[in-house]
Amino acid sequence: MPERDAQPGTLVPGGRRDPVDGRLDVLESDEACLVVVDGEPDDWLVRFEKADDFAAREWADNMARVYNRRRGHSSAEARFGAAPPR
Amino acid sequence: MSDDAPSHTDHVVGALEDFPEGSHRVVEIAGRQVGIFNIGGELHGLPNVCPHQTGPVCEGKIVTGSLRSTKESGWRAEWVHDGEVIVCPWHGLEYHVPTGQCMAFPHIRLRRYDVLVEDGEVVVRIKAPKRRRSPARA
Repeated sequence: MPERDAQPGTLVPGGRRDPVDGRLDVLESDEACLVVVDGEPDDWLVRFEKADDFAAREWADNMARVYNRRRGHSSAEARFGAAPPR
Repeated sequence: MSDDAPSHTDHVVGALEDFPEGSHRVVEIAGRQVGIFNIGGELHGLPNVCPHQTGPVCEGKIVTGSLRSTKESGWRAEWVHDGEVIVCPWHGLEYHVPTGQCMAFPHIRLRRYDVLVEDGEVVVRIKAPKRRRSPARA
């Protein structure tokens, strides 16, 4: 039986907060690279399947790097608004 | 069990009528933003972060279909997944909501969170460590 959180979900207007509360890391297996939160395998966000014609590790590393850099940015406009950062 | 141990946790995100068919919205639960989509009466949950440049993919206004052209169809353009594709507002990458599959890059897939309806409430089930965070502002 799953635990139930008493705190209801909150609407996110305008997306000015970090989409994830934590840093992103990359976990690699023989089949894929997972982008996870704070190194936790159960808390994965995106799966990049390895293939000869697809650079899974590079994609995953780029996602984590870009997110972690943006997350630490002081300007809200440069982070997670509906428009891309300038 | 410690606070950081992985476990399933159910999060109520609202009443079913708050998520009418054809709508989508982003909620914050367990230290992450989740896009909740009602497509044809089925509820789906995706993380609100695009694998491309980490944009808020679920805040895209457009839920549409996509054009697909394959060898099997003789490279003719086909309209597929009507009403099931979210378009990232930053750079336009498309994702098939029910599967999390990126339309342009078949090797990229977003996680899908379980979204249930229990007693008229919409519940998101997440297997992840609890995160300590003050409640979000509405």
